[in-house]
This record gives sequence, C-alpha cells and structure tokens, in this order.
Amino acid sequence: MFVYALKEAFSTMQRAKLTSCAATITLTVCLFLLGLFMMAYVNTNGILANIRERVQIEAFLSDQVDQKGALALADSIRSFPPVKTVSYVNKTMALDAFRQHFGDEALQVLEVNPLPASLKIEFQEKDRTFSRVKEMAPLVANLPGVVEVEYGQQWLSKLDRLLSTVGAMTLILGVILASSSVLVVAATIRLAFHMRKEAVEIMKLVGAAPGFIARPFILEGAIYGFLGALFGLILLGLLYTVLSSRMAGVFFLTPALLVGLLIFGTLLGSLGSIVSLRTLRR
Amino acid sequence: MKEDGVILEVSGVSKIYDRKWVALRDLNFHVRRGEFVLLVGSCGAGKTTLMRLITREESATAGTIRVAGEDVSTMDRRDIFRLRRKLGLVFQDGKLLKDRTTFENIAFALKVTGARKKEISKKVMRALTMVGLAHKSSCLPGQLSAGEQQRVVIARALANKPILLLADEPTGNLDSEVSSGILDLFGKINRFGTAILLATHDANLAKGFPHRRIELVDGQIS
Repeated sequence: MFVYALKEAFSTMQRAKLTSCAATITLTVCLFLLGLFMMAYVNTNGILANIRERVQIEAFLSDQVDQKGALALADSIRSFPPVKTVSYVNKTMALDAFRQHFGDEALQVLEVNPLPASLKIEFQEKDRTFSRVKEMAPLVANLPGVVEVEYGQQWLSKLDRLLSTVGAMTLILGVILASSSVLVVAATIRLAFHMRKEAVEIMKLVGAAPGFIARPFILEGAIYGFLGALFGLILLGLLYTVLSSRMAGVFFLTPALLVGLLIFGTLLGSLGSIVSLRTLRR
Repeated sequence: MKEDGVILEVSGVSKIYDRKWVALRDLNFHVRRGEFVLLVGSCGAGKTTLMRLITREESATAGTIRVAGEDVSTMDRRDIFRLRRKLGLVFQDGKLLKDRTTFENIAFALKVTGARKKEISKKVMRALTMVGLAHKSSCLPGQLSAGEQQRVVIARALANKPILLLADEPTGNLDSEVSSGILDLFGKINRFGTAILLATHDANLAKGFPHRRIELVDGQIS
C-alpha cells in the first residue's frame, strides 16, 4: 500500500513538474531562512554561553582594608551559596596585571599606585546567569570595605536582550514561514487532486478506504517538505562553509537541530496536504 | 444478509432539499437476493437521488435504507467505503481512466480496495470474459466504442463480486441496439446470481422486461 502511494505521489509530481518544482523551491527558501535564523540563535546563544563561563563579580576594596581584612571579607563572601571561589588581588597584583595589558608607560607619571585591591568572585556553574549575578552584586556592594562592584552589567544585559530578540524573531519568522509553506503545499496538492480527480472519484465509487485515497497526497506533501528542508540545509551548509572560512567561532546547527528541521519540513508538507484535503472534502 | 434474502430494503424513505423541494416521498420497496428490479421513471422522477441515497453519497431526510441488513442511513461516514465494496456501481458516465487500458482500469478498482496482486489478474479476466471483452483487455478506452466502454464499466463493477449491482441510466448515452445488448448483459449477470437494481427513463427498454418493475413518478412509487 505504501509503495502504491509512493508511486502515485511521484507520478503526479512528474506530471506536474513545474508546480512540483515551484513548491519545492518555495519550501527550500522558507526552510533555509528558518535554518538561518536558527543558526543565528545558536551562535548568539553560543557566544553568550561562552561569556557566561567567564561571568564574575569584581569587588573593589577601599584602601583602608588591609590584607587581613580583605581575606576576612573573602571568607564571608564565600559563604554565599552561589559563590564558587573568591580570590584576593592586592594593589601590587592589580598594578602588575595592568602593566601586562597596557605596558609600563601608562602609569609612569604617577608616584603612587592608583589601582585598588579587589576580590574576584566566581560563581557555581548553574549560577552563572545575568539574573543571579545581578542579585548578588548589591549584597557584595553593601559589605563594609567594598567601594564598588563591577560585573559588566551593561553588556551582559545587552547580550541577554539580543538573545531574546533573536529567539523571538526566529519564532515569529518560523510561524510566518511555516504558514507560508503549508499554504504553498496546500495549493500544490489542490492542483494534484484536480489532476487525479477522475481516479479519486473511481476510488470512492468502488470503495477505496479514505486513508488509501488520501495517502498519496499526504505523501506528496511530505516529499515536498522533506526535499525543501534537505535543499534548505544544503544551502545553509554552503553558507556556513563560506562564513566559517572568513570568521572564526561560527557554529553550524547541531545534528539534533538538523534532524529536527528535516522532520519539521516533512511534517509541514504533510500538514499542507491535510489542510488541502480537508478543504476539498468540504 | 437477512434470512429472508432481502439485500436492499427501503423503508419510508424521503429526501427533501432545502426543506421545500421534495425529491423522494415515503418510498417502500425491497430487492431480494438474485432479483433483477427495474426502476423506471422520467427525468427528475428521483431515480438518481435514490441511487445516491443507497450508496450514501447523500443522506435520506427520513426513513431507513438497509443493505444486507446494515442501516446505511446511520452509517458512520468513515465506514461508507465498506458499504461501497458490497455494491457494484454503473453510471451513465462510466468514468474510465483514459490513460489506462481496459485491464488496468478494472485492476485499478481491485487494487484500491485491497485485493491481492495474485487475485487481481484472475478477477479482471473473469469480469472481462463475462462482458465479452477479454480480447480487448489491452485497449485504451479511446479505442473502444461507447457500448464497449460501458461494458468495461460493468466489468469493473462486477470484478469485486458485489451483492447488489446498481445501474443508473447505464444505456443513457447509447443507441437502442447497443442498449438492448447492455440490458441482455445485465440479464446474463443476473442469471449468475447477482441482484440488480437498474434505473432507466427509457420506456422502450422497459418494454417486455421479464422482471419486477418499480415505477417512480415525482418521487413516489406509483
């Protein structure tokens, strides 16, 4: 039965080559764009995850806090559950680090070391989120001896917003592209149905099961969806090859997402057929 | 099938369109196993409407229709195909697939109803032999005369061994000589045991018909 349905589906596709090509191309474009946005999301997420790895609070200490006081402070911060490690950076270490980054000349004119001592606070893996850091920062800032805390609040919140925006855009675009794909397949299947109208009428007349009649059409839609997703992914792969040769650290879709997109395309195509058949039945 | 051998039972059937157009009014009749019944009526008398009710292409407004004891009127839409497998349908416009041979047209009908590949060839040739077209099994419909095309349609309806053959104006497009041949063919099929309900408006065709006749006038049995 499946072989029969498959043969019928391919035979209709062959008879309506132009329409079949148009449907496949439209689905390819739709699924390529969807894949592109998914790739953008994956990459933004990757960058953010990478940055999150390095999320930490730097608490700058007053010059009045000596090493003993700083270590006591570090101990009290360590007692917060999200905190993993607290390391003390005294004024000399801060100056050395500064020199390493910017060279000796920058501070030569100054007679005193202007850089404050600080405590570098790193978080447990699960707590390396912007919201958790934002929650912790005022607690640390209110400790005696801490004059300022720094955790890259501005860029971290910007990145979080960017990720949400890309995610929302992917979702909206996904809905629009999915609807368009369904409509394109529905129109193509409608045409296929009219091409096979006589055969369908005979099938009804002689008592073919409704599922048997519908199967070739659903399969045809599924083939458009699958081919659209496959070609869309091939285009995406080519784009990735070009991009990764020019930019470092670009991620492609994960294998799970690749398979997911293929399944999604196939389901979209089938859904288009079902929509079409339901309208025709009415 | 009921024990009394009734294959088709029409009880109190009415069909009213748009709450005002009465197509059929309180029809009561039955067809027994192996019986040949002629349904005669002028155009618009309600013959086709009745056929459409029996095959559940439409639903009756009132009454019940039973095919082999099963109530067609209350049948689930999803089960209608099972009903149609029990029936053989022949219409004026036979609907043959023009790009398939005589053999393939009949084989198609068997294939889509789930017949096994092995059986198909045997069943097709048996049906073609019955209608006298075994020698034209490889012809396309376009290479056949109108009468021969109608014989193929009859062969297709017969291939599944229906318990009841429904024919709606099967000679509508044919001249009187060919029509008479088709009627003879139905007679032959009936002699092999298949019950037939044949609807026609052709009074000449009905003349001298040796079986039971039901006359339909303005949607009522007269």
